[in-house]
Amino acid sequence: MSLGNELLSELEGEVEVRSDDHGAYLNATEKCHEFCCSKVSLLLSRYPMKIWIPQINPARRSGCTWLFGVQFGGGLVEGDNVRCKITVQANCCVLYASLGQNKAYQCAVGKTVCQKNDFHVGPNSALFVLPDPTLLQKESALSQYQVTRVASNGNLVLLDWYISGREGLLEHWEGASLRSVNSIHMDGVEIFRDVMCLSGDLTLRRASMGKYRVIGLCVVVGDVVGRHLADAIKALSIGNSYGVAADTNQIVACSPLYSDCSDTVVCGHVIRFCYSTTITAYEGVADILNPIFAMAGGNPFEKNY
Amino acid sequence: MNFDVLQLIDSAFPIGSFAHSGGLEAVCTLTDTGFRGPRGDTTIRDGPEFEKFEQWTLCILENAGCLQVPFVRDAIGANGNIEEIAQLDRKLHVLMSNHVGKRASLQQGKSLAALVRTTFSRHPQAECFQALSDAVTGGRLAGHFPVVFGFVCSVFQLDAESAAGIFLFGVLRALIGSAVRLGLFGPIKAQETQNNLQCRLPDLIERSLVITEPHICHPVLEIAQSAHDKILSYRVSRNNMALGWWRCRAEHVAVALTLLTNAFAVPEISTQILPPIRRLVRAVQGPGSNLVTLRPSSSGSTRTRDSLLGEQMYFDEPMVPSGHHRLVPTPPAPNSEPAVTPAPTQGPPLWSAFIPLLAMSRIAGVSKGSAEKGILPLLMSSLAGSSNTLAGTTIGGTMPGNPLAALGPGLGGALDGLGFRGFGMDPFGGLLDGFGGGPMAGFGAAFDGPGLMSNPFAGLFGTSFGHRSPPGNSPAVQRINPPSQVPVDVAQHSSRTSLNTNLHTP
Repeated sequence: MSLGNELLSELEGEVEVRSDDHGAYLNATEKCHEFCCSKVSLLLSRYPMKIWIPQINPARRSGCTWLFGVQFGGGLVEGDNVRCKITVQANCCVLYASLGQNKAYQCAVGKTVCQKNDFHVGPNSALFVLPDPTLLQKESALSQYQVTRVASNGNLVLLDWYISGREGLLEHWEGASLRSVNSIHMDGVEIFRDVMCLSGDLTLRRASMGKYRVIGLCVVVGDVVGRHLADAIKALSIGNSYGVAADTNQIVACSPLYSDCSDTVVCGHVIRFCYSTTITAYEGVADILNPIFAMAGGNPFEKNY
Repeated sequence: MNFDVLQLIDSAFPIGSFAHSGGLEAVCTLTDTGFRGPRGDTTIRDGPEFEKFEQWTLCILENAGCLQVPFVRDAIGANGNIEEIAQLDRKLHVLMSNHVGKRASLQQGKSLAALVRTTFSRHPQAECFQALSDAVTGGRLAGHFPVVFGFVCSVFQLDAESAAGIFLFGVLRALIGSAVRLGLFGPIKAQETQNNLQCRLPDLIERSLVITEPHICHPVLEIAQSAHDKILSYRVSRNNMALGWWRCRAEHVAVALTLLTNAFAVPEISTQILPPIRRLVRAVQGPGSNLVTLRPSSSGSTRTRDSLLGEQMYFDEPMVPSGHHRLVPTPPAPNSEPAVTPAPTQGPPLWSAFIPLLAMSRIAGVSKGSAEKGILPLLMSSLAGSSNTLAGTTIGGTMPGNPLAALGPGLGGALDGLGFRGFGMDPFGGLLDGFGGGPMAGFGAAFDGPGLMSNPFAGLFGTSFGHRSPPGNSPAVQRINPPSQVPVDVAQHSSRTSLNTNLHTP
């Protein structure tokens, strides 16, 4: 108990998932037979964050443990400083999702909302971080910092995406600031770092964002998920056909991710995208990640749009 | 006055930055900026469109300022310490996950490291350049451009502000040059635009120099630039389209000449003229088809050795015209008679032989009158010119440093002189040809490669190929769409379309 109090003093949420001691590997006929049955061995959360484990696991047949991270009030308000740590031990498969679009509400000038996620992925494990996009309301100021440490044979799918604002109020990238840092370490070596900062001149920002209402990236690391997503990644690498004008409503691109400076060992891919509508973004992302949904036992965005 | 610095920032200093549009080309093609239609037929004019262009350019500059200038600053602060430079280089390598930008940065940085070693070999601190070059070639440095540039500036004893200014000036200059090459506006308007935008640089430099965590501030540009390979492959498809067009036309010409030979029964034509023509036709159809060399990559996809912009691309489709028409012999019906070679009298009328020649002449820009005056010499020269120019340009684009790189534009210029307008197509053509003699010959030719595709002549290729079937007993034209669903064997394709009149029997 003391351990719990100590942790709660530092973190707003912590989850640890271990392989089930009594559970053998799932039957080979099951969908997700690369990983063991797993169970949540530690779950701590406090205001304003809550982490839910669905009683009826939508992925009970796949062996993947689903977790939902929820903010009270449906989003982050000025002064919130949410830190969450999720540890996936060896041979486990975990999906971390949300129950809807997370929101960043308006902040006073100079104030920000901070969210820090710390993910650990053990050997032969998989973590799918697939939250809904974060909606950036007008004059919101969000700072998000996500660090993921993956074992060399671990697997990760990390989705980080944002919506430009409330469409009904014609908000379009009018947040005061957005700072998003994603860092992925493999065996202690940083293999990926993405820092995006939206602030400053609103005119220029609007000009560069154009009609795109959703932007984001999805990082895929690991052999198992790479194998499942190979076709999708291949499809993203194929150029436009001759005579077919590019669809300007969406841009999706894929870059290889190398584990060293020599650019020889590919350990993953970075998929970047922007879409002009939220619905097409959901559909596009779901199309790309469809093989992951099969591994995870379901589509976490299924009824969210 | 430091002439070494002036030489470093001179546009003729061949580090390849001219060939880097910084994402502008992808933005023009993949977003609805309205700058450019799918065939490159739109030009920016004054007004809101131009204001929009300036905004986009400023966004690209801001991205460069926020992400790369801090590394220039820190590299200057390293004071020539290679270990610190290596750490910065590694940091930027991880941060630059956009593979297109990373590729361009690495190639420019490596070029700069190699070039300063040879160019400034008599500099008092030449050993610093030697150490830098050794670190890059030895693998201690990946060799990103901002880091290498900062190192070089530190050797030249420039302060961070001056180095950042020079760096961003180079980015702006490359952007404006790319805009001219994209056909967005002319060179005079370009200078006016550059001057307008230059006044925004001091503010950007001031902000960039205090950035503690390098970042991207206009993500859509980054996403569009990441997708640059898609439009490049589109363009290479167009390049293949051009080659396909030549294959198609060569076959037309060969068929027409065969018919002429048979019709007139002139032995000299059969023995003296036809064989070299056939050799040329085969040259166009055969080895020349290797526009881009493919090899399997570790990611499972295939990758070009180098692309037309001196950058690597990814392809998962064979290098044949994709998504458009290609020549495939029509299979005989199950119960049909075996193929029979048509008698000459059953072929197309004699005048049909002139159609491909006139079409070729027209597309190549030769006036109708001059084409009618000497069809056969024209045919010979056009076939030779096309194959040589394509080979020169494309081989130069795929093999930096190849002596043929200079040959391509040279032949293009020669063909221009002969009246084949369209080969020397861009206003910077002469300037870029100057790269041909330098160590970055590939960049010069590579820049000409996309230039070829982005000019109206390329559009003519695209629109003409596949829409005109050969007269008479011609191979069937099938539409293959989408390309990825149909496995295509290049060798098989070549053999199918080889010079064989028996093939065309339906």
